[in-house]
Amino acid sequence: MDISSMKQGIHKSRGGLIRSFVTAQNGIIKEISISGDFFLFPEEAIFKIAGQLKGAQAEREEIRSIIEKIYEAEGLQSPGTTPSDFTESIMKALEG
Amino acid sequence: MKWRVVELETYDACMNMALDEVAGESVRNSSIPTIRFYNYKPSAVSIGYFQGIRDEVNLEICRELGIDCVRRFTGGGAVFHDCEGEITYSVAAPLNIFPKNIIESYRIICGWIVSGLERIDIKAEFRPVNDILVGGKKISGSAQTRRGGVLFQHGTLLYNLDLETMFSVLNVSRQKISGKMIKDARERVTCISNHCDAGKEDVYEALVRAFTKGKDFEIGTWSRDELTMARELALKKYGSDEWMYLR
Repeated sequence: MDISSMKQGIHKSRGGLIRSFVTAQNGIIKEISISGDFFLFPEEAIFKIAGQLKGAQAEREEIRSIIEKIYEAEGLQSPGTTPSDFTESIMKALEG
Repeated sequence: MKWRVVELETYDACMNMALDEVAGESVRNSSIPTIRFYNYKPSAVSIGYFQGIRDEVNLEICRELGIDCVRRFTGGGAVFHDCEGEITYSVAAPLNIFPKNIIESYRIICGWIVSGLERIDIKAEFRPVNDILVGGKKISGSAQTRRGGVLFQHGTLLYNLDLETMFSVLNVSRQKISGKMIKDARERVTCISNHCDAGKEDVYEALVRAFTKGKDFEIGTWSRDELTMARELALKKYGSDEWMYLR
């Protein structure tokens, strides 16, 4: 994914820095990539998070709810980082 | 349960990551828990699974200095592995012999490093989530992952510090390399040689004793199958552009 034209949001959680690159159009997330030095097990779940956010409404509650549901369904663990931290990083990109 | 201890070995970055992955696979397939000590040669930068390589690493300087770069399968931050300046370890074991709580399991394995440092008269403390400090400065960092009933953790213990090289290969907050930044880092990071004159061999011996204390263990080696699998992973996974430029 070419992230050069995407908006960036950075949020520091206790478990690490979360860097989000997001493109939104008409209030819908079109492209999203999440990177950083946080921990999340299993690691590949980050693709599921990004995949399910694609096409979602670019709103805080919607974003957090989608991430929370994936956490629950997949039994994700992320020491020092919560779904709200990911949401915060994404919102910073959307509002940036 | 008998632990296998693979004594200090030196490989390049891709092979080290591959052997770490194979250690986890061996726990899954045949329940062999492994403790491993290793060095990187050539020196290398490892980045966390989720990191953007161009955000974190000055690839041009790495090429100029002959420093390898590898993406880990664990999260966390970018680490400069100086081939002379650190001892790296990994632990792969059944998840059920460690606390479910992630920080408590970090506390146990990091506690082995703290005990090792105690043996060379360095008083260190575990700082959650995953750091070890001496006099308030970081001397060791670790990264853990869990999957399929296996706990895997690797980390580095700094023996010497080469901050100039470290800052030339890492894009630290995209700031320019400055004297002030290096001075700040010296206030946040330390290494064994700042605190005692134990040789690297002595430090390694102290670590082996601390990691194996109270355990049924044997000094072991990789099987032929494990080495074959690791060589393939090093080449096809860790050495591939697809993995390196994942993000």
